[in-house]
Amino acid sequence: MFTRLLQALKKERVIYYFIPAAIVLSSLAVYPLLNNLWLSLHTKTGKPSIANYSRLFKDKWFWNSIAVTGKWMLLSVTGELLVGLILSNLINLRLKGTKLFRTILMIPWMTPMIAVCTIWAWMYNGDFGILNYGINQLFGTNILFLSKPQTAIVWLSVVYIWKRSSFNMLMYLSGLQGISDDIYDACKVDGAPWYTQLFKITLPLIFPIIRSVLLISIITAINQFTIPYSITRGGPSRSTELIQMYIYNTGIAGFQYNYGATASTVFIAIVLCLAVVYIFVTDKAEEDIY
Amino acid sequence: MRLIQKVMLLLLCLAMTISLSCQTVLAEKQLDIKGEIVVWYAGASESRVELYQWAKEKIEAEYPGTTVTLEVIPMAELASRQMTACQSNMGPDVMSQPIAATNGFMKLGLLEPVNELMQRLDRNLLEEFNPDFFELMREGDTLYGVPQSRTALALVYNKAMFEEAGLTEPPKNWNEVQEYAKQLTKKDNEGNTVVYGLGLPGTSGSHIWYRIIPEIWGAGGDICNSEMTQATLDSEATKKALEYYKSFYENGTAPRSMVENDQTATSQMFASGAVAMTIENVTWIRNNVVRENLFDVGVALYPGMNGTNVAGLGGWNACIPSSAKNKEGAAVFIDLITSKEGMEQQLLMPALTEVLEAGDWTDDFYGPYSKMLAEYSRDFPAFENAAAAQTVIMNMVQSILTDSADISSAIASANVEIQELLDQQNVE
Amino acid sequence: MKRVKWLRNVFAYALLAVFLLAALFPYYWMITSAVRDQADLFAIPPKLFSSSVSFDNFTYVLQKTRIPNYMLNSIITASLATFMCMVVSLPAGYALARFSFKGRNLLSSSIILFKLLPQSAALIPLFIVIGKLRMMDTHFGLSYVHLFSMVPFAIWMSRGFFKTVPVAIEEAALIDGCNKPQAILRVVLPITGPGLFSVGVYAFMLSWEEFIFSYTFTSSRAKPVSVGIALFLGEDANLWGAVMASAILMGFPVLLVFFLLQDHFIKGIVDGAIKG
Repeated sequence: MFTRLLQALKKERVIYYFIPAAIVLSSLAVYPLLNNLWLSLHTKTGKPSIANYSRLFKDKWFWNSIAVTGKWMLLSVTGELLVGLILSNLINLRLKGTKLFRTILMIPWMTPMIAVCTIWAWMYNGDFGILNYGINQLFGTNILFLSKPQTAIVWLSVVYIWKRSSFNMLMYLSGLQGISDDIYDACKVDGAPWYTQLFKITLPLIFPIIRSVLLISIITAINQFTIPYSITRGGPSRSTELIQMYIYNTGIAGFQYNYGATASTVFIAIVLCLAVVYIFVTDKAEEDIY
Repeated sequence: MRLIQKVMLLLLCLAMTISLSCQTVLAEKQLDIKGEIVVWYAGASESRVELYQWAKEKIEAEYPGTTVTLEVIPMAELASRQMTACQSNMGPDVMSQPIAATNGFMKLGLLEPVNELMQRLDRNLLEEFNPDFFELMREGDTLYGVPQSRTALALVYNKAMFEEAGLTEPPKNWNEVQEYAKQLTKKDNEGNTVVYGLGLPGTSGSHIWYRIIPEIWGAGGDICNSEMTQATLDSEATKKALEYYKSFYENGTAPRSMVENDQTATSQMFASGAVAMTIENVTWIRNNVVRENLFDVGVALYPGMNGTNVAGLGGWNACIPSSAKNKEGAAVFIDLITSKEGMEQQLLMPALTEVLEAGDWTDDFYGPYSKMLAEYSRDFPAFENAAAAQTVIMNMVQSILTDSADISSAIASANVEIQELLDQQNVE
Repeated sequence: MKRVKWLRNVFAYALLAVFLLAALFPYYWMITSAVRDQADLFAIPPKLFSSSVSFDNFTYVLQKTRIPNYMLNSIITASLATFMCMVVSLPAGYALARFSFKGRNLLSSSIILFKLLPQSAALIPLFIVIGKLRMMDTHFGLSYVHLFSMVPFAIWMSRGFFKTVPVAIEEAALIDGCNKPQAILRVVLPITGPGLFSVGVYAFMLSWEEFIFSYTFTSSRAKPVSVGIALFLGEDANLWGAVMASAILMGFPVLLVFFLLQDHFIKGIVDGAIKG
């Protein structure tokens, strides 16, 4: 009996390859998800209740952080998409020195986020910052980068775009390099203007890549904590408090585990809905293009 | 073959790394060995290391078989780390914590009474310390901690800059501070401000809290009533305090970068000569300006609306968690660091009356601090969720500084939020 | 026609120059800030060119602060996490690339879902569990939670590399009398080696710069350098020069590895992100 069992176990099975990953991911992701849900449905003392949800839906700072996260994503994702596309097209011209340029442009992406944040915080500083002084001198303006609730998030997204664009550049570059020159030549012979070329050839051909890169960008942007934490601490007036900071501040720093878990549960639900919609919509768009 | 060798070598290296880190995991399990005293203290100031090290060596020499394990925890995470550990019964034997935290721990039943333990070591706490220090850590006659240090803020100023501006006396009230700040502010030929009159924090919840609440007190208001049932922030006093606070930012006598600066950044500007006066605690200024011989520092009482202000108490308590495994050992350790000999090594303002009244603590530099402590200080109201209360106040101040809300509506909405916090803690 | 191309090139070079300047200027400012003395650092208005050069900030960081300890912690944590990540992810990546079985597509898409999960989703439950298991502030505990974001990426990237090995080669080895582990070790790994190495480097990087988990799950003994730098600003002195010096120390090793390996590395990242 035992030997037979052993024999059966010895046989190679696909599932064996997945066991370690399954253990790790279920302990680190599946369990927390379920635990979040459980915590959110109980009070601090362990009584079942939906009080956490009714409190959360009335909490203006929760909605504030959702709105801030939305604004942040809009700015940073479109920013990195555009800059990434421009850079990849520039590199794809295959000018002299391209490889060196590519390497240099990659440096920001390879620099650890916290180091990036400290440099930018120092450059933005209202008294000693070189950007603060330089830009205001050059353009005769009086911008205070991190001290205006209306615009602080914009300057934070600049930091993010600065760091992340070269990743997008790499991705789009791999797509552009896959497009053969013949197609462009044919287009040129037809005398089509550059924008026709862009919208009829380049963009449709790299659309699948834009699609997967965009998904990665959205997720990375939603996941941001370091930038607002280390540069503005979510301020001024909580105008840069992204959802991750909100969850950290209420759940961990304020010791309200159940309430914080409620916020994460609602947030995960929103993210998953968005992801499903995104995948559905882009699937449809891809069908339309081809 | 070469590849296999390489892989083996790689595995060997990694195995070594793992075994190294496993040792740190294993070391933790030795906590329940009898005779070990585990001490958690904050790594905010390097100077404290020597005091704890001294106590460790002394105890290990005096009580053979006893080991003291010191663990430094960074200031920013101290409260949450101690709270989780105590709630899951895995706390240390001794924990040093900011006085604002002790009340919450006591109310949750996470602390061990210290009267009897300290009495067995011939200590009479209420006589040796200012009894006011125990206000937030006692239930009737039961005391839940031993004061290590107490500080209150005071005004510090750059003496050379005062002389240059022809100022001889430090400012004594709001009007004088505003007047002085204008006189001390200096511009270069292009119109850039090179020296700001007064430095104030514009970010960090706790820094703004320590700075603005005393101003509200000074104007006759408070954040809530003394029973902590009713928020009283929505008052003329709060409005006056905020207008005063904002006036410096508005007229350019406080740094342009104020909203980005916490008190540490402000003090750094003071140290580098970009700010002429600020309100700081004793440690930072002594460690970073006086010890470094940067310039002559003047110290004066904290100026309030109509005279000296009442500052909020800061400082540290040593407590024993109720889950501590070695309570006697913990008491011996606390006795040592709060004894006369231990207190003399204390580089913050010592809490022990005998030590505070002797020696250096009354000279020109420490004198005003000692006076603030003895005559012009009080406890902040003990919010259970102190971080949330501080965020509310910070948000109020920031929205006024940045003009994103007018003063009265900012105060009103902060008042509502404070009331919510009070209601929550009174229900629980 | 030639003239148009010439014009286009000038325009492209000008644009590139702007981007290169934007990419490099912050580093110039970081490095010069790190070697300035206090008077130059806190000059109003700031000076673009500094007259003073001093390495005091570096000696301060290396001798008087705990940054070197934090660097060591980061090295231990990131190596341990990378090792665990590879052990866990490579078999899964291999199986996804090699076998066709029922539910493979479902499995692939669920791994994408894991990539989508925000870290804050796991923060509070893990905080409670890690506390109860007494793994708070240990290298092992931290490196284990780092696997949260490392494993899905590593499975995905390694899958791409394993796909480049033709099945025929592996089968030939099996026919030659190798058993399966031998075939993998002697045939598959040498071919995919450089690619898998870049997977490892990327995993190491993820752990090296990770912040929110490191901030939550460590306090002193296992605190990595990413958190150490952030807390620098809040501790005793707000020494911008020293902060810049430690940021340089933290970023340097990563950049060095990148320059040495960039081709493999870029290929791995691109394949992992897109071709999956």
